[in-house]
Amino acid sequence: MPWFQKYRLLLVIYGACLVVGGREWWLSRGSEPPGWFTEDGRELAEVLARVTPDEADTEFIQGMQSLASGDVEAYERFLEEALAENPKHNDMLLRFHAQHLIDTGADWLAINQALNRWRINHPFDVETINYYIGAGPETELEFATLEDALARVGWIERVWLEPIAAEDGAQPWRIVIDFTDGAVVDIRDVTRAVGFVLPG
Amino acid sequence: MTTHGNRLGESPFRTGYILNPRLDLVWFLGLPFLAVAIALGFQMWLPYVVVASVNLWITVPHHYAGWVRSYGMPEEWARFKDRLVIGPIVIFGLTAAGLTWAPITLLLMVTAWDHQHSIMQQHGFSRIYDFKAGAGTPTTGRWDLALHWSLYLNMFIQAPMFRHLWIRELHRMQIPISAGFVETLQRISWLALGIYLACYAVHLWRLVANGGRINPIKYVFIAASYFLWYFAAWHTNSILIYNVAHRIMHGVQYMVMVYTFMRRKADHKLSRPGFWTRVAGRGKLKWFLVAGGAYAIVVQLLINRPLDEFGFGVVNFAPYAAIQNFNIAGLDYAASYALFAETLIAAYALTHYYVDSFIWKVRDKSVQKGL
Repeated sequence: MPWFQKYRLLLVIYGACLVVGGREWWLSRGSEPPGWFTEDGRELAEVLARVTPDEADTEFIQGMQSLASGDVEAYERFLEEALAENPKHNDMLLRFHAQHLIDTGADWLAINQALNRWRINHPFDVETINYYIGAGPETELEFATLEDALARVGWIERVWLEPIAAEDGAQPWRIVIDFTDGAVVDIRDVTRAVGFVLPG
Repeated sequence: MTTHGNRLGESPFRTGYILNPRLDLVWFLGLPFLAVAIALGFQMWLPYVVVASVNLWITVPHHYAGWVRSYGMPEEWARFKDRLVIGPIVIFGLTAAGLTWAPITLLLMVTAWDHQHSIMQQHGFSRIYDFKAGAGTPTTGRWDLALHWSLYLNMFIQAPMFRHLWIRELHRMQIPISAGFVETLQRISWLALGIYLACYAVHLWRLVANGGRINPIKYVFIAASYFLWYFAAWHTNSILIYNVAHRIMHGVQYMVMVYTFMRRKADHKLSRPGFWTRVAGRGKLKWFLVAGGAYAIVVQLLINRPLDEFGFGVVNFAPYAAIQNFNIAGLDYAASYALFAETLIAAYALTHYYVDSFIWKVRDKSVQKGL
């Protein structure tokens, strides 16, 4: 059997890949990858909303588009609809939902439910969550004590503290939380640690 | 048209089975329905990590079954040696290149090849049904292959779950498409499927008219397979349901087929002994399964993924919570795993103590013979 007949499956598959992959490589050199919040991203969301309107993934993309354009209410409505379909597979949706609840100062019970919904379905996800505090540690001792208090929380694998610049001149801090695989999360542990070290 | 002719007045239907009526009912005709039921249960009660668990319990061992069949049988090795050596070198090399220079293309290629592989497996089983029944004509294989592609492609284009996927991936490849294009494509797909099914019906009619035979079990098998795919992709929005149901059907049927094939060869001494005869043949099913499980563990350790993924999100090394009242601190993941390791070490020792308590009795005549 001639070699090209013997390896025809590999030749066909990788021949096609060479064309498609070559195009991908060429495009990646000259332009940014298409983002969700660009004009192309908006067009994609419109197409998906028309051809797969009831998909949780579609509603999530629509929600993100709404959030990007500042329409928080629409974002929450889309997310609510998406979550009602129990989309266990979409780790990004579950994580963004939990992050949004933290960002908007939702009730700890809702935050815990959202965080655990994400972590139970994706216990080995390496993504982190940000927890914001209005005023951070002012001394190195406070910094070290807060870091230590957070590191003692069972469900926190690692934690980083970093100041972030705010437009109004205030200097809030961000606590970046990396989760312990498979652990049950209780956001009140973070609230308590912060309140204990920075009572003001 | 050449056919496996039937005599005048005989029924055009002749049944044939891959294994036998009872086992086919379980593994080939009933399994798709069971797989869907399991997947629906998983979606309802278990977390998404079950997809990884099903992958470990079924998909990875089904790869192992393929390795035994291809690399463990001396005759297959002799027949396909160059492809069995050069193929993996090319595939591993180009996969590394793809990850470096064209990751989206690599992902699409893996997905597309997976779909093609799934179609070809069900097509292969269909061919076995005709082979066993002496049914069909020399062209039926091609008709069946086109039937599988038509049904599968239609599902891929129409089902919301897949539609979302390929529209999004085309966007990532900077090939934007309009909703109008998608709707037109859907209409064309339905039309093409309808036309092909009509052509297929004509093929069957001509086959019977020329004295050929039809194996109805083949069509029950095809219907059961496409019930699983269409139901999981069309009537649910859940990737979990599709992944679990598909992997159960694909992996289990493959392992059943490989084991049956090797067992028949072993029982009738049709092939030279090799690694495969250690895990296939009378009384060796347990070793086939144990080796498959061991292979899955090795793969999981090699890719540095947690062994917890075997546990369906129910059994894991999740941290032990602190017991405040007894002043016992909680354990993190590493400490919890260390506790598990300590448990194993202690349990090994305890089992050794227990076993030695009854296997060594000098008063035992059987023991005395060995002393």
